[in-house]
Amino acid sequence: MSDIAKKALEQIKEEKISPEPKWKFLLKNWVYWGAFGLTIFLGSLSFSVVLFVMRESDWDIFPRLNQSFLGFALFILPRFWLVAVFLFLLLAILNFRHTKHGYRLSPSLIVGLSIIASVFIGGLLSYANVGKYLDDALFEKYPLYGEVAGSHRNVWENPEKGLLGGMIVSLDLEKNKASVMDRSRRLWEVDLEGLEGNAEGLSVNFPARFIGNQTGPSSFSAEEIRPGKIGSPFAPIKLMHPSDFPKPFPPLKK
Amino acid sequence: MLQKCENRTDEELVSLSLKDQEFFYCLLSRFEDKLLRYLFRTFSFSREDAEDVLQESFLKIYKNLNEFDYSFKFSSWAYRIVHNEAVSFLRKAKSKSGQNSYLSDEEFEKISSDINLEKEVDRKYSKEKIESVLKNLEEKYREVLVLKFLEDKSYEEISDIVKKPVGTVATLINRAKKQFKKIIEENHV
Repeated sequence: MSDIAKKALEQIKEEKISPEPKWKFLLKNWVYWGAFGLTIFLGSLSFSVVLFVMRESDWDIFPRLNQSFLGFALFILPRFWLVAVFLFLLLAILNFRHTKHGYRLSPSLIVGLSIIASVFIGGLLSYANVGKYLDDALFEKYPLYGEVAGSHRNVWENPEKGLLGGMIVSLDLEKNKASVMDRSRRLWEVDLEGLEGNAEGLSVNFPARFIGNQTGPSSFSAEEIRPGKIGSPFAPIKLMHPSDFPKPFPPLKK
Repeated sequence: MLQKCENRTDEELVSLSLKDQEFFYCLLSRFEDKLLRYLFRTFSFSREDAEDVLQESFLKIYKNLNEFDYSFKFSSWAYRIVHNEAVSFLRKAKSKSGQNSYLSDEEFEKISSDINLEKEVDRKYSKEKIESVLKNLEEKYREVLVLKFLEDKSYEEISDIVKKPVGTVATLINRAKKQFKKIIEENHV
């Protein structure tokens, strides 16, 4: 008997060592595949928010913020979500490499396939407005999220630069006036005269973004209005004419 | 027992080992010398350390027998486990450097011609000097050279042992050859 093989066999017998059950190895492999799938999904989810932010952003307002287009693009860029996409992609690659045959594919091929999967699934999720749902939910529930990743929304907290966003809390179409509460719960009196009759479809409890001029400490004159939220969660996001706005509640006065 | 194993493939012996430990002994004895040599050549272990690592590896192979994928060659899988065990051993404690002469004359001729040394350097170099060059190579390069030219493994087998894609293995072997020649030229071995 050869020495080492003999010693190993004796040790196996003495210590009553037995092979680990097969299911443990299968489970381990499935866990890596599951973790790979999960990280690809989370990366796709993050990418859908990136797409949403890029699509939702008002690219035409950069002159009002006294920025170049590039400066505005960098400001609006969803860095938080881009970092999330990168991290999930990295984790996905690591998980894939730990699957049974994962090492056989070259790292560049794994990276390429993972990016394609994330872009494809992220695109589908974005088309279904999942990115918007996630961004809305985080923004509403976690104020910190707004500070870290809300630059595309915070743009509308610049009344001094003519950009005001908030909820319409009361409406008087005869006087062409609306009361708007911004995110810091400050009330603004918004003059709708400049909208030239386009205020017809507005209603209370409707979030909106106004472009115009600040005329006083709490007053604003609107020249253009854009919806703050879409009606159906699965409807495509587009700029809506005020007459297309949903009417969840009747106007207070007319 | 060894006679009962003679006409069996390694993979058949894996299946039989799960039912009867004696077949596992047959399997181990087929690979003991090869794996021990691989440990000397690649990791420059002392005899004592190499034997310890190999015994631990054998126990690990037995514990993980159910993990063996029959689409692999058993030898690749066994080399991989030994490789992992050696790396882990080296991490735990710096191994005492062995003084074993681990190249036979035949192997020396083989590695010299495979790396085309005759074109680059004078063939008078002794096998001790070639060994010393191998020892001076980075471990990742030394390992692929040993597996390719001394253990006669194919690129696919090396890929399964070191868990790297075949393309990466090919690149490593090319770089290893270049580094091998460079060391020879620089040191006038």
